[in-house]
Amino acid sequence: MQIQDDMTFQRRSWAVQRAGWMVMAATVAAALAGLLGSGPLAGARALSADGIEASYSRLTRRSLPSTLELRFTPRSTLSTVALSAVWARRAGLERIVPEPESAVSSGGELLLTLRTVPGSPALVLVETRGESAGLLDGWVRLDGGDPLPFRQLVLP
Amino acid sequence: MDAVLRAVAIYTILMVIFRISGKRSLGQITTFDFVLLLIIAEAVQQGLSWQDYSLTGAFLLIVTLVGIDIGLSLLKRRAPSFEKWFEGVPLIIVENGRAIEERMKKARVDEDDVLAAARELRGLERMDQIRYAVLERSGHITIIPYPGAGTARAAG
Repeated sequence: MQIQDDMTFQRRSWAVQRAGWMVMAATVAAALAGLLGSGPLAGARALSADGIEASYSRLTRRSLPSTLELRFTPRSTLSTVALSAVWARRAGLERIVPEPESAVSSGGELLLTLRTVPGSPALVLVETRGESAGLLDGWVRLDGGDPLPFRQLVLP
Repeated sequence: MDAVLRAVAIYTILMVIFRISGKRSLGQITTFDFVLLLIIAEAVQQGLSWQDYSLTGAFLLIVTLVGIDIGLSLLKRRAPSFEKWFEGVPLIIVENGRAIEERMKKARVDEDDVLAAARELRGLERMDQIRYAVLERSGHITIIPYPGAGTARAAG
């Protein structure tokens, strides 16, 4: 029979194939765990000394909606939450819930003034959808306190 | 995680729908079936990507879909009953020149389909030249003629 078979090559190719399957299985497992954005391991939490808690995705993907959740107990009827302006731009800030009373941009920060009830836990959602991939460094500050830094990796 | 789950959901839905739609729709594809497949692909695409236009997301979808396919093929080899459910079983529809009406009716195949396959594959003219006609798992009809009947084509 006129055929160009090569069993040595064939065996090698099968071995490579099987190794590839393992890599695929590992990729799916990693994705399920959240190592490729959105999943249990993708979420992170940071807490500042002034009592502001930030829940965010440390791993996300370009174009995927992501929410930064800020929790704090307000001290007065108006609370000021400041966000890094560079982060807001690069992360693709889309919406803030509840809508702030006012938003002012000043000296590299976005100052959001929110109506709050003193002593009653407040939750602010900062919704983003980034178009650029890479490392994003952000911070958030409550009522002029110390900035609480956080870091996100946006996969392409 | 969500990309993997979406891929699994779409794969399962398509698998179930195409399995219950029967063999015929996969085997003898008409122009309309083809158009229908394109529309289905378009509908599936929206469910699959769901706001995720990232490269990582696309990669995950592909790896998951191909991975399920490989996984199922391995599972089918191990468990024959599993294979029966997923792929179906071959069905004899003509035996010794006589059509088995009940089976043909259930499988939505008629004598014309059998004769068309007999002409196309074996150059046969009449039902009595067919020893067996089998509706294969792929949806194609294969013809086994009586010895000496018709002329086999060089390439099937």
